[in-house]
Amino acid sequence: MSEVRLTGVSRSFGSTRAVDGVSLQVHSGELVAVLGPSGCGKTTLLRLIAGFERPAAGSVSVGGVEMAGPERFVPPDKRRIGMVFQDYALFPHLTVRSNVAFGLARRERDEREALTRRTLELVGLQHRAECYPHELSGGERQRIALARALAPEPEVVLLDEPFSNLDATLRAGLRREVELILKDARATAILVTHDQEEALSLADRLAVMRDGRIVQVGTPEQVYGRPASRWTAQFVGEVNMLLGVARGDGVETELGVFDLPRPARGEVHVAVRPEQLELRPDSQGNAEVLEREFRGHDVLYRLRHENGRMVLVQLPSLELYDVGARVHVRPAPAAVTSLVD
Amino acid sequence: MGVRRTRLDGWALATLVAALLVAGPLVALPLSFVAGGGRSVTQFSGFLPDAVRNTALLLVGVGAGTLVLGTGLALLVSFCDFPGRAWIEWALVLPLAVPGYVFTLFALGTLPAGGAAIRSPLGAIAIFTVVLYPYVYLLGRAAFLSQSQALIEAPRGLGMSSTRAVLRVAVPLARPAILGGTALALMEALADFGTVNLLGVHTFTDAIYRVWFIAFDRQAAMQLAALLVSVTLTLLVLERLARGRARYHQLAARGQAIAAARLRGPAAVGAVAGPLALVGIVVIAPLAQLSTWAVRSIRDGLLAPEFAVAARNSLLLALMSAVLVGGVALLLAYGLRGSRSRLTAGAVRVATIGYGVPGSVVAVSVIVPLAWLDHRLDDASNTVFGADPGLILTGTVIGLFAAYVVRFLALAFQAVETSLLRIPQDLDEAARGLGADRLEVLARVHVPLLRAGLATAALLVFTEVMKELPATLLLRPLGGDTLAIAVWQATSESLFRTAALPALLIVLVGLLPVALMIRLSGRRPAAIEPSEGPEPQPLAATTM
Amino acid sequence: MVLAAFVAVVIATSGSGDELVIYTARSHYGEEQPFKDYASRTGRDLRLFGGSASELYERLESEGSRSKADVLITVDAANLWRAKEAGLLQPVRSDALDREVPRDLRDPDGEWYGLTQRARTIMRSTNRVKAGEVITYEGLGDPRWKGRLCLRSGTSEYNGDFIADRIAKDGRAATEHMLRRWMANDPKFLGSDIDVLDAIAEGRCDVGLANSYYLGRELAEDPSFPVALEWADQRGRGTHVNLSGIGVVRRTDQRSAAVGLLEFLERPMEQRVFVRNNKEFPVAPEVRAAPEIARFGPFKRDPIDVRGAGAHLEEAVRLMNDLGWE
Repeated sequence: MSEVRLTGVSRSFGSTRAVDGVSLQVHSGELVAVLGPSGCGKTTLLRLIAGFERPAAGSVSVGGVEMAGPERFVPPDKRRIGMVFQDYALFPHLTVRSNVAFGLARRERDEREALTRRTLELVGLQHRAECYPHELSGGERQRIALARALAPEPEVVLLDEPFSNLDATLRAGLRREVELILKDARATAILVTHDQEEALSLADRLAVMRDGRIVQVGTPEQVYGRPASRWTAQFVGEVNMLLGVARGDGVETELGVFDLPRPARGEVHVAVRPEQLELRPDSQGNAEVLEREFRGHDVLYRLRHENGRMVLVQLPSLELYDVGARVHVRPAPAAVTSLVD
Repeated sequence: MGVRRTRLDGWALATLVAALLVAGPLVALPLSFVAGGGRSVTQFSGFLPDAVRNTALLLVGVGAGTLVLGTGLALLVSFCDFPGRAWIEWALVLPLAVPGYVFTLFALGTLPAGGAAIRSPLGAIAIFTVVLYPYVYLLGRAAFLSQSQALIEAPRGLGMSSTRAVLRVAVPLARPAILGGTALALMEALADFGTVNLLGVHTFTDAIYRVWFIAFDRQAAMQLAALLVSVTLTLLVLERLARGRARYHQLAARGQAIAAARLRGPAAVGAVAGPLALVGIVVIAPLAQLSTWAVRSIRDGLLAPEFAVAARNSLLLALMSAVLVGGVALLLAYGLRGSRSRLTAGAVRVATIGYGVPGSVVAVSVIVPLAWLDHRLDDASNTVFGADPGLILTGTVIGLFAAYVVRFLALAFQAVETSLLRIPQDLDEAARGLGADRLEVLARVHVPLLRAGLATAALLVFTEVMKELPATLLLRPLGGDTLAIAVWQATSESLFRTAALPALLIVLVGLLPVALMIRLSGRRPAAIEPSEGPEPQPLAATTM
Repeated sequence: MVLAAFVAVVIATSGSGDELVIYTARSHYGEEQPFKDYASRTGRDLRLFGGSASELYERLESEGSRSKADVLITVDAANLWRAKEAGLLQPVRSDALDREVPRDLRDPDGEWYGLTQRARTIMRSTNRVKAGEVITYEGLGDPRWKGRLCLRSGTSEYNGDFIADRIAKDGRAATEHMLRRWMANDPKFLGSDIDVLDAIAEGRCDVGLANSYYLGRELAEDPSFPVALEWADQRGRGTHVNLSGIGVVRRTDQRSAAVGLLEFLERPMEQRVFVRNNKEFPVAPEVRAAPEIARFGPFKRDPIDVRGAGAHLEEAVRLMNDLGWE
């Protein structure tokens, strides 16, 4: 498995700049999620890496070899890149076994059979080898698509919204499974998704994309905890945007004083996650509960602050407040907010 | 960044070249107006008024006739239930298997007074109507079946009678499909040569033939042909427009399928008797009569000379054209799929107008460049090898194949492209990502998935070539007489019994694609997705 | 494999070298015998390629020097003339041919020879039209035949040659006058000479124009066929007689075999076959007409002016079309 390096890659469709000067490095064996709203260019980015699109500018290299650049374009079939499509794109006329073996046509027969068997075992579907794709469940099709991509031992695996066609109930379990399979295969993988929860839970690193540009790259913790912009903060999880006055290590806001990640002075915008606030019952409190969304292990409250603004607060479901209750909202202990522009 | 130059890879280039080769002769037709100097439109002005009047009359008559008959029958089988509906529904498609000139031969030989009653534009309209209405019927029926019951019930809730609801809602909704079918029927009528020639109705096609062979003016024939092609193009554009919207309508329709109203009493009798009488007259009676004549011709030794050779030629030509035209169609459809080149796309569109162009026009437009090329080739080989191979294009079946490709490419292309469009692009990319080059993608993914589409394409071409007359007549090589030619030569000498056996064979072979069509459309109109698994392969064994 | 099949078929249809290729406009039916006889006599393969004379002419012209055709047979004189004019034929000198074919039925340069003669004359119903009621071509334009006249389609070579011959001999004005009077009678246009005879027999028309041998064939099959012919213009130039002819293609590489075929077909024996099977008139003077036709008596012929008809054919076709002869 090899590293992937994008340098200043651009691609336009008509007057739309689908991908606009993107640079990104994916290390060998790493799973990077490209996260962004639909239409942000993330699928085009994936297709540029796979070779289904040609960059208008910039270069794509895999394992140190240039695949696309000003002078060079390696067609997709010569790139050794596995791809898992949103709708899996299994060959309907072939059995599961033949689907998985599709990319092994040029291997020796023994090797082909061994690799096919091993990959089917890896995804745990050896018992479905003789089935046709339409006889499989959604989750099974997904795993076969992954197996087919992995079987030829590609340099990189690309996954395009791989879970979007699955039931929510299936999704979480399969996500874990796919992660394990990819780790087992020591695959370098790039996953494209618009689902922040998926990206946060799966990826080693995240690249947040907006309007054809990558706006932030980092670990899930970094991107969630230290969003670089208001837009990223809002796109990756729920957030309260507050205006405050920074005084060195702290920032004073209408909800109280929060710690800052780095010293600052003057008026700043800070992003406060709902779980960075806490409540206590107070009939004279500064807020009123408008809505309560029970999520099992936690509860999301929507409050109206006395100054009129909405505030989101997330609490463990141990303590419950009724709609209409008067509460006092304040920073949780040691809550570190992020500065955003 | 600016607009990027479109890159043409090998496939796109091959597609472009093939498309231009096919489109070239037709596109070059209008050049006949500038080439050739002195001669001009005035040279055939005497033929023009008749041709225009009769062709217009034919188009209006056949248009109205097929529209009314086809739509009426489609309404009947879609919205009414009566005994034997399932059978009648399909029997009504059978007239497609009867070429116009075969029905004409039957009618001329059977009707009293030598068929005097039908030797007129009205007779031609009647014949075209009964053999061509299935185009309207098939498309109309498909459109009606895709409509949801709610569409019919909603206006009934507003107090409309069910008949009025059907006429006011269902028919307008199906209009694109119905008009598309009518356009197809009109193109067939326009392209016909045998029927109008046997009936002595002077249409455009006939005028081209007469100007060329009676007035000996090839130049003028090509000019006439160019005029005719423009009429055809108009029809084709109309059909494309109608079909584009038809797709939209069918996608929009959802919900419970239409429930047919049960007919009783005289209405039910009429619903059964009407279609049966129609099919009886158009299919059963000719088959019976031709069989009788054929038996008598065998008994009396009145078989066309070299009948066996003609049958063999027909089969070989049809078989090889099916493979050839199917292959070119596959190349073009596949080349188009992978290419973003507008040039290639445009060239392919132009290459597929040939279907609306009469065979004689195709022959005219193919023979001139081919003959020119032929003589150059022979000169060259004389100079280079000192050998004289003769005319290897126009002197052999190659010229005929060229004409068949030009004429029938659209037919095969449509069948292949429709199936190809149902294959998601993802499959191509998945295969490419797995190391398959474009040829492998075609061979390992598309061809297996397209088997039904390819079989349909090949079969359609096969039967069309079996019955093709004017291009074959003009371009056949020595010893290249076919069944259709045998029918035509015998019929034009009023030797109906001699014409019967070859005609019978043509009809029987023509029943094959109709049976295939019935089988394919017999599947309920559920969403047909490749992910449903391998498509049924009804006739895979007969092709390739 | 597909490619191999293509190559095989292409080669198969390109014809072999030593067969004799005959482009013939004569009917396919009922006259294979003389050709079969020649083939079996000489052990040579004959290949007949059928089509209308003008189709064949177009083909010959397009193929030019590379044509595989060795012999051209037409059913009319105008196309013989056109072929000669276009340089498609070659002169043949043969004592046998000169002996069998009268001078006025062959080309002075020997580029073509008449094969059979075909009289195009008036046909009448034996039930509704008395003998002698119409005896001239002009007479078909008499108003009494309004709605009672049947003509074959104007695309027929026989009609084209006939009118072209009239233009050559009587001038355009006179011919146009005759045609206008014919057309004023609202003739029914039919597909073939046989249709014209059948129409008269069945009472759809009373008079018409057809080649005599078609009537001969009908009478051979059914002696009571209710149609009779009237030899036209016996007090004038005589009945229009067209010529089916044969010539050797200029670029043939089998000249002697081609000439051999000509000599064979012109022999009285073979001429008799044409007469017996087809009821045509022979060119060989000593061969007698078929009995079905002979019973209408001898007649004065107006042999077609080959050169004149050929030169006026195009004009004739346009005139006929312009005046409404469909």
